This record gives sequence, C-alpha cells and structure tokens, in this order.
Amino acid sequence: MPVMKNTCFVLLLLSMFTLSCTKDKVDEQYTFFRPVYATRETVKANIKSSAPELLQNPGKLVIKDNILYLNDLDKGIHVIDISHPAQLQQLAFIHIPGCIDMAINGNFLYADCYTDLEVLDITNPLQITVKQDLPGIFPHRFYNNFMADTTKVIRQWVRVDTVVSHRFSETVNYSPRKEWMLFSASSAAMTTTGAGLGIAGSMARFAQLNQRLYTVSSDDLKVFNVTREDKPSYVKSVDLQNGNIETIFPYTDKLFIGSQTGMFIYDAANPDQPVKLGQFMHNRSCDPVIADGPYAYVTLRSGSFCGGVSNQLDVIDIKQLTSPQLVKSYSLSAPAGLAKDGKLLLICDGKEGLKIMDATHPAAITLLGRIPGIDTYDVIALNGTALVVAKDGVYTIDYTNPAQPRILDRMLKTENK
Amino acid sequence: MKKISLIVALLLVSHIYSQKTNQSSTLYVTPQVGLLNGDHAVSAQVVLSGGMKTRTWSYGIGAGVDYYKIRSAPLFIELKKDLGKKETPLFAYLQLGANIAWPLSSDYRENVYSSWFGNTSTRFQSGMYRELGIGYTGWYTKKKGIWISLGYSTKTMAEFYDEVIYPDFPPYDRVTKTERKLAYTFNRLVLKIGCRL
Repeated sequence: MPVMKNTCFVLLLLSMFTLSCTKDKVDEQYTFFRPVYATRETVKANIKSSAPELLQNPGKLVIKDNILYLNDLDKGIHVIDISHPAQLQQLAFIHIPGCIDMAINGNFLYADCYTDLEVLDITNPLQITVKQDLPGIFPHRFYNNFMADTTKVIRQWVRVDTVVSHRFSETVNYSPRKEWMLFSASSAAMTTTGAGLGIAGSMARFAQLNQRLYTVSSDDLKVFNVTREDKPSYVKSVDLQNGNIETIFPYTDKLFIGSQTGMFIYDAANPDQPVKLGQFMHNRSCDPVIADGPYAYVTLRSGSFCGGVSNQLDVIDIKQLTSPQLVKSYSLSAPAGLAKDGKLLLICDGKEGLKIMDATHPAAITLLGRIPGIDTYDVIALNGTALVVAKDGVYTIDYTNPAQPRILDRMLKTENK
Repeated sequence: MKKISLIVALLLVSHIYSQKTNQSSTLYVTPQVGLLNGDHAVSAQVVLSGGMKTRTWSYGIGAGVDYYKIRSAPLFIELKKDLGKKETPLFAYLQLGANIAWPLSSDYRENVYSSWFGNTSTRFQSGMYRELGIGYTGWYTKKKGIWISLGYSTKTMAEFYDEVIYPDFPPYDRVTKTERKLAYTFNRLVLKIGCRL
C-alpha cells in the first residue's frame, strides 16, 4: 500500500510539473546601439574649437590652406595642421554630433549636424565658431525602422549587449531592431572648382560649383546659394528620380553623381536648375566617381549594404555627356575612393592599400606602386602628397616617386594607438 | 552546468554501482522509440541504451537521434529504479548527458536572416540533454520485457550568427560586425515504448 501511495504521488507531481513546462525558450543574445540624446541648445553651444581629441571613426576630409578638416563620423571634425606632411599636428576638435559631410568656401566651413546645416567661421582654426545654423535642411536619418527623437540631437551611440527571451516559434527579430544603428563614414577625392574652395574627396556628398553648394541625400539634390559665404541660402531641391545616391563630384560646369546603380551627369550651367544630361548604369554596388578631361572614373565595390559582386574600376568616355560609354573595366579588390593627379590615378583598394596607377592611356591603365597593409577608404592627391583615410586612421603618403610611394606620417584612431 | 550535471551523474552511478556490486546483475539492451510533444510541435526520437541491471537498479549509457525542432543526437547516462523493494512493473528513470547538435539543412535559421546582400553564416553548438520519467513494464520476464514510459525531457543547444550592421545612409560600407547567439531550450513530454533485450 505505501508503494502504491508513493507511486500515485510521484505520478501526480510529475504530470503537474511536465504539463506546465513544455514551452520552448530561446535566449537571444545580440548587440545594438542606443542613442544618447542632448538638447539642441546644448549641442549648438558646443560647436566650437576645443581641445584635440583622439580619432574614433575617421570619415570624410576637406583641405584648405594646409589645414586638414577630418570628419569623425557622427562626432565632429578634427582640425589638423598638414604644413609638414611628415609631422601631422592636431590643432583642435569641433564637436558636431551627426556630422558626416563638409565643404569649405572661403573662410567658412559647411557641415551637417543631422538635419541641420551649420556654417562655421574657420578664419582662425583655433577659434572656430558657428556663424549660421540652417535647421531642418536635410532629411531625418532612418536606422532600420528606428526613428530618432527629432526634438533632440543624438550626441553619441552606445553599444549595448543584451539578451532577450522568446519562444522558438516566434520569429527572430532581425532587422527591425527598435534601437540600433549605424554607421560610419569616410571620404575624399579631389573636388575643387574655384578659388577659396576646400579640396574634398570622391566620397563627398557636398560639392561646390559656381557659387552654389550642392548636397545629395539618398534621392535628391539640394541647391544652396553661397554667394555670401557666411550666409548660404537654400534655393531648391531637385528630385534625382533614382534612390541610393552616394556621392557628388563637380567638374567644369557638370555634376557627376554616383549611386548604387549608376553614374548620373547633371548640367549645372544654370546653377540653380541642374538638369540631367546622361547616365551610365552599372551593376549594383557602391560607387564613387570622379571626372578628368573626357573621362570619368568610377569604382565599384561589393560586399556591403550596396550589394553586388563587382569590384572594379570603370573608365567611362564622357565626350558625349548624353551617352557615356564604357572604355574599359579593371578588376580590383574592394575599391573605394579615388583621386587624380595629372596622369596618375590613386585608388583606395580596401585592404590592398593605396594603389598608384598610370592613367596616361585610360584604355591601358597600369599599376605603378602600392602602399600595402592599410585598409584604405578615400584619398586626396596634392602634388605628390596623398592624404589617405584608412580604417585605422589618416595617413600622409609621398608619391613623388609613384613606383615607390612611402608613408610620411600617420594619425591612428584610439584603438590602434 | 552541463559539466556539473555530468559529474553528478557519474558520481551517482559510481555510488550505486559500489553499493550493488555484491548483488547479482545482468546486462540489458533497450531499443526505444519516443513520441515527443512540446510547444506546438510533435516529433520523434529513437534511442538505444544498455547497461547493467541489479535487483531494482539499472544503470547504463545510451545514444539516439532526436528530431524535435532541431535534429540532435543525445548521448547520456541512464539510471533506472524499479519502484518498490522488489522488482515491480513500475519504474522511474533519469537520463542525463550531452545533446550533440546535428542540424538538418532546414534547421538553420540562415534562410530567415539572409537577405539579398547576403551577410551571415551560422553554426551550432551542442548542449545538454536530460530526461526524467516513469514507466510501466508489461509482459516481462526476469530478463526481457516491453515497457512504456512517460517522461519530461529537455535538450539545449545554441546557434550563432555573424551579424553585420549596415548603415541606412551613405556611406553604406562602414559596418559593425557582431555575433548573435540563439540559445535554445526545448522542453517536451516524451511517450516512449521500448523493450528490454
């Protein structure tokens, strides 16, 4: 009898226990980025020269009068003296949250601060101040379905490692993470089309031509009248009719716009009313573009959000702007920014480093020299000295002997110090 | 946790073995087929275990294939106790061990996550297996018999993804690489039928 009693008890206990506990459990451990907000007033008050800071995410760059303005993605701008390329010297740092793009006109630097355009007086790099603030110019950024609080400014992103639990049958919540991001930037080719303008790179989304500032976002081109350098005024927005726009490069009175699916040529003879002239479509990929003489040079890069499988340099004949023709494609590793200096073509080819090529004959471009060992992203070529942004920092490279380029100096980001 | 469980099980087995060595014992082999009923899913497992049986205790090892949600191969130590002082039809059992991940191609969540720009790889990590239950033996002789049992089983494993976070705005190709871990715990009721050979 006691055995039966015990057995019944065990049976009862076991059945109660098991029937209530057959739910699956998935502990999902992942990483996301959470925004840290600040009030607009606090952010604006802090946009000025302050003590130099370490590089974190080197981005786009602009050069003016031996001063390099190097964007630190979403954080601000480093002010660096490059008078002596072999001895880079940090002068100051300007805190501009959300800053990715820059352009310089005379003594004024235009920079984005998320949706706002800031005009900074850079007459004295050590005492840079905000001259004008044009709020709400650029579209709000979307972070894969996460919409930021637009009444405030995202000051920084904090990495968060977390674990959430759900049942196996519930779909894993991949891309629409509620708070995540992001990011990053980098930049520069050789964009200068007038006296007093800064030299920017091929990854730039700001360009200047005929006293106009042109900015591209994903699907539009904005025009600003910068006749008065210190007071840019918004003119209009031109629908580019193609999404996924990435870069803009001004050349003569034309605008070369790079997108993930092709290169578009706009005529800016009437500076307030750019008109599309032609286009050159290519496989889907990231593609900065520069132009020089009768040729445009486009690099295609796969393996990122842009998609695609192409990693190459396309040389395009633009004698007929309405119908650009491919001259030749050159296979590369993971090309990004590029710059032209006379007959030389400098290409950032990802982990293969900086490549210096002889582009005397666009149909027969040959490799002259290479700086390996750095994951390059964009370059400005300045009469024998290249300013190169790489994943780990910024470099000055002497290419006066193209066959044997050499690193003059480097400024590495925090983790590489 | 898995290691601790295995150590406890080994100690338990050795303890019982040391107590029973003076008793007469026989070898047994039991093929088993189980019906697994869990969270909105029914599946099956096939297991073979074998070991030593003393008067009221059995202890052995076993392995099998478990198709519940993500295929795996449990590898375990088994303890069985006839309820009562003498051999009776009723028994309780415990299986404790490792759950070796052996996913079918359809078990990978890769298909869920991959997108047109293809950005992930996935891999599995083995986990723990445990089962506790009671059973009833019918048609049995001293050495052979057919039994059914009802148990509560848990198997764990983990799946990992290399995850790439892309920006939604240009430049698009500066990415953040992270790892996503999905730690699975599957709890099921197990209805088994087996025979002692």
